[in-house]
Amino acid sequence: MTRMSWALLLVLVGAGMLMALASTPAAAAEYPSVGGLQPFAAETNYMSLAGYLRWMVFEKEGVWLSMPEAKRIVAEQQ
Amino acid sequence: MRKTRLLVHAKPSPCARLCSCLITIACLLLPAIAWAAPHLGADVDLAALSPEARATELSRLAQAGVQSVRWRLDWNRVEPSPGAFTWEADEAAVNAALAHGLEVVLILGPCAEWAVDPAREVPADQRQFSVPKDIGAWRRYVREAASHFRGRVRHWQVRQQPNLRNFRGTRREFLRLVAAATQEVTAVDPQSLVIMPESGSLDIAEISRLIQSDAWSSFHVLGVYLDQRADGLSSLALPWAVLTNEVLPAGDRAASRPLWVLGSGGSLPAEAWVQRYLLAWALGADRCYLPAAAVSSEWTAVIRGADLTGYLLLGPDVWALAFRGEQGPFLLAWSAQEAPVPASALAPTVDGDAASKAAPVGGAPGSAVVTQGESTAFTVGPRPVLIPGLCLDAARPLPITRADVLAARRGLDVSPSPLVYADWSMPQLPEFGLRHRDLRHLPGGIVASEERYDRTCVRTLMRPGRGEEKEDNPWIYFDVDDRWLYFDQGKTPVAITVECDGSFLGKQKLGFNIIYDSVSGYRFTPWQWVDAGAGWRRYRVELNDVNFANRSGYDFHINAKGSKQDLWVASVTVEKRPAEELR
Repeated sequence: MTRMSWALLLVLVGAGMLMALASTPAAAAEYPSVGGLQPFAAETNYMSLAGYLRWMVFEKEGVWLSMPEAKRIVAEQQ
Repeated sequence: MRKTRLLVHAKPSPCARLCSCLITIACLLLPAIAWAAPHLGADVDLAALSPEARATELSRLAQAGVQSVRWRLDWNRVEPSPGAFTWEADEAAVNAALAHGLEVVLILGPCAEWAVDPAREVPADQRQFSVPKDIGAWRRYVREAASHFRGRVRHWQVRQQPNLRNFRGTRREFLRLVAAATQEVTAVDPQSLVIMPESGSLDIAEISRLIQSDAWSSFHVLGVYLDQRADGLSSLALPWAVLTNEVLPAGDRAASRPLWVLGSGGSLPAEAWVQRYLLAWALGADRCYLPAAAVSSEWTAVIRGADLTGYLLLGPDVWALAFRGEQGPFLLAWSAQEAPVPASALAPTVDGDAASKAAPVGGAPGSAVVTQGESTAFTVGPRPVLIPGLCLDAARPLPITRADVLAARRGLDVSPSPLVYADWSMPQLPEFGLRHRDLRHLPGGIVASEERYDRTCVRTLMRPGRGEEKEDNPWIYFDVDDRWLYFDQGKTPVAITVECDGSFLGKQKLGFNIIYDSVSGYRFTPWQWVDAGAGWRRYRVELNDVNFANRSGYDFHINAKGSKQDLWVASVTVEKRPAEELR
């Protein structure tokens, strides 16, 4: 690979890293308020409220809450 | 990052030089309201460094003008098992910092893993983000820490930023930790102060709700974070301007809460931290904490001893802060994006000497000064450029308000319009005051553009199976232009109309709701089934409690999860309804 190609590769990698940094979403500040939704219906994707909250948090943050944690959060929302 | 050019004349006549000198003298004599620099703090885990490395770093930071250092007093480190405390590492670190003349701020947390309730079933690698089963264990840790460092440490922050990645408890549980910590440290030392970090990034909606609650009286300092995604001054300045000019004065108890900038919630290049420190200054923060690596004498020396006297708008999203230093007045200007800046924005107040002395702050590539023929051009990029020798009587006075920030925004001003829309088939203005396309990087929102029935539309990309969650994209994000509506607090009733294709699977197979930023957090609208059959249909929902404060980078998103097929959306319209409809 020529020096020019290496330089181009470095520029592209650098630009990619910058774009990745720029597009990294900030962590959400609060749990979505699922307390008013109807469990086991379309609006909760046919899940319990705690299960739906777990799915939403994973979708937003990439982290699974445990079911006991999700239940506590839902209980506080109701 | 692209750069902005400011053109100024390089070779002034002798008469112009004389006038410039007289103007400069007049500027120095004019009385002006000036703001001193915020306390500069550095984040560095001194307890994890060797004594030699610690001494070297502390000397460097002290020379750079740092006034305090902050690190985590890791509960797992100081109390590895219940009731067994060990302070050696932090003891040495605190003493070393004090010996260098630096104040110490300690962060209480994260959670001791042994303190977590096993019944919560928290994975081992996540237990530090959980909460103690027994609040008494937390109180003991706080009390022991405050007693051990009594007289040496007076500032205590409660946990790292409690966002959803750092804190797995409920909001009520976090506030309980704050209240308990305040009781314990003030019982040991009534002069101690407790810092409560916000969970968002300048989340003015959350702070507004906090002010209205009893929790507001349970701490002494409010810690805020500046969004890591925001690269222009405008996007950072808007929530701060609203916070300080509108939200905080709204509550009587708010007046005595200092504001500290605690970070940005992510990693940033060094010049972005310089920008944030300058922003914290311009907006009246009491303190600003930066990563130690971002602190350098190259830029701190430039502003040391200077007072901030105002700001200039040099073009859309091109801001400059005006300072009065020992060597006279100077500007620090920067820009995240290219923007046309008329020479008249700066030229009348610049002389040739000033142009030749202008230089980027810091050594890395960034802004620069280049001569082109008989003109000097300032290239203003992300790294602030120092422009000395100016008369700054054209600078606008502080504080910066919501109107100031919005006036500096680039793009079409949609504020007079009764509605904003996104209709991707419109050739000229597919997104009028309603952004969607540049939000497709947000979680669950990687949707597609497709042609359908001769219209350009947006299609969700849902994956229904277990294990496919990372590829599941059921959300279509939107952000309303801040000039049209921003942090409205439910004053303006709005209606959102979604135009989408009918369900090809039949009745009750396709539907959606809207998750929106309301005065009480993110809320869901009622589920809306989409009628069966091909063809575009419109569904309208009226909302009376919107906030639309750009929390998490957007105002609302369409949610199709719960459908058996993807959703194709051709247009979305948000309109303001008459205020009478609120009654």
